[in-house]
Amino acid sequence: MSQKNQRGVSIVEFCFSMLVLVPMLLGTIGTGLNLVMELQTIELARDAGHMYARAGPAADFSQPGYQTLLASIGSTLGLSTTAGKGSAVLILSQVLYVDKGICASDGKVDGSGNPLGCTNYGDWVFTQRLTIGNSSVKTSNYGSPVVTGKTPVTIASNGGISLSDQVTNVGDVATFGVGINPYKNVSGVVSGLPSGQTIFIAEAAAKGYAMPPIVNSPLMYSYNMF
Amino acid sequence: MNLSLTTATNERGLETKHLHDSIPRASYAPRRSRRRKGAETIEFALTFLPFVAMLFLLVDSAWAIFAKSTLEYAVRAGVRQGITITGTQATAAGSNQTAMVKAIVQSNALGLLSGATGLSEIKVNYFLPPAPGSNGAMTDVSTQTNGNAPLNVMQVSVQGYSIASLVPRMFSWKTKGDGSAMAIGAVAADLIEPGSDSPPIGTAP
Repeated sequence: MSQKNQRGVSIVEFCFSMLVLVPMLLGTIGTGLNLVMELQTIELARDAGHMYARAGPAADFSQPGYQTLLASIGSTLGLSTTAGKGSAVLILSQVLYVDKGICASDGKVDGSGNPLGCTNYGDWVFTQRLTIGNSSVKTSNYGSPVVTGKTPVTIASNGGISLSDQVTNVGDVATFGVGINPYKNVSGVVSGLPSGQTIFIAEAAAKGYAMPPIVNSPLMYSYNMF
Repeated sequence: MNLSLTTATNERGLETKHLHDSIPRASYAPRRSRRRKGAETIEFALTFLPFVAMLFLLVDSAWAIFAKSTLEYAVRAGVRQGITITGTQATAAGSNQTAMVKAIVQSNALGLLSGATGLSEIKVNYFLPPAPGSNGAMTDVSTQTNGNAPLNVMQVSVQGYSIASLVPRMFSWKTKGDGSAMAIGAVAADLIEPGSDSPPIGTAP
């Protein structure tokens, strides 16, 4: 082919290579930003979870003071103290294993101390559920108390759930899968965990950085148990 | 130049004459090469500039991401160790809780917060949680002697840290490139561990 016919070929080849290289570059940057967001999500879940568990009943995370602090940690993720706002959510849950002692504390045992009418016996149930931020970002991996239907679970303003609901309301049973629940294989008797001991779970989720169509907003998620 | 005339017969039987020079075809190469002199340089410049711009963008982004993740790790390390510091440890170190936390953050920042300037960008705040049932905000007790009481909140942050960009950031052809430094912050918080051996708080934040 003569030189004249090849005129302009280079620029076309250059454009073709740019079509590949530029999206790769943007994808690298977008992925990097999302990696940082994932680190922040992990940190939010860890900080919130540790504070939630360490303070125990002494701290009420439904109070604006605590929520503002959590929002400052998750500010770059878009965690808002206003329900339904922002691009992140923090879900705080306390779960409890319903054993004979818990059944007895609600009077759901027979004369021999065996469960009687203790519907949730042998299950993990929620004792508290608090959702901070935009709940539409993600729902909990451990289920949620069912607050609708014929027998809804009543969640108080501080996230607390009554003992009656914990013991007898099937809508309060948490979803603990195999591999996550360390006590699942011990039927009826919780070995190593005192009766009435709750597990604190903090789950953080956020919408990732979006650069369509190269990087679609991925969901960042992290959880901690104490 | 030596010219020669050749005669040939085409497919219709007509005689055609062609004028040839006696210079071999290979000898055209230097002349073409002369005509194309500089083209490579221009093409190299045309491709090099976008590639360099892409490289700067990549390095700038990577540096910012690295700095952000490093500072996040540093403040987290500061909080994690800071909430467990006891009076005994502080006495042994001849220091106080705030200074020890700042030193931990500085040592975990991979040199990003080195020197007095870096140290001044590390802030350690202490907050008193609101009373149960209160809708009030947390009270900043950083300047109080007992601000680091057990179960108060310790918040460690990096404020005012910024990195300069290698090249101005271009967001549009119509606007001037943004060459300003990029501010990067990090924050972590936790409850101070309970204990009867509280260290001196030092000068906070």
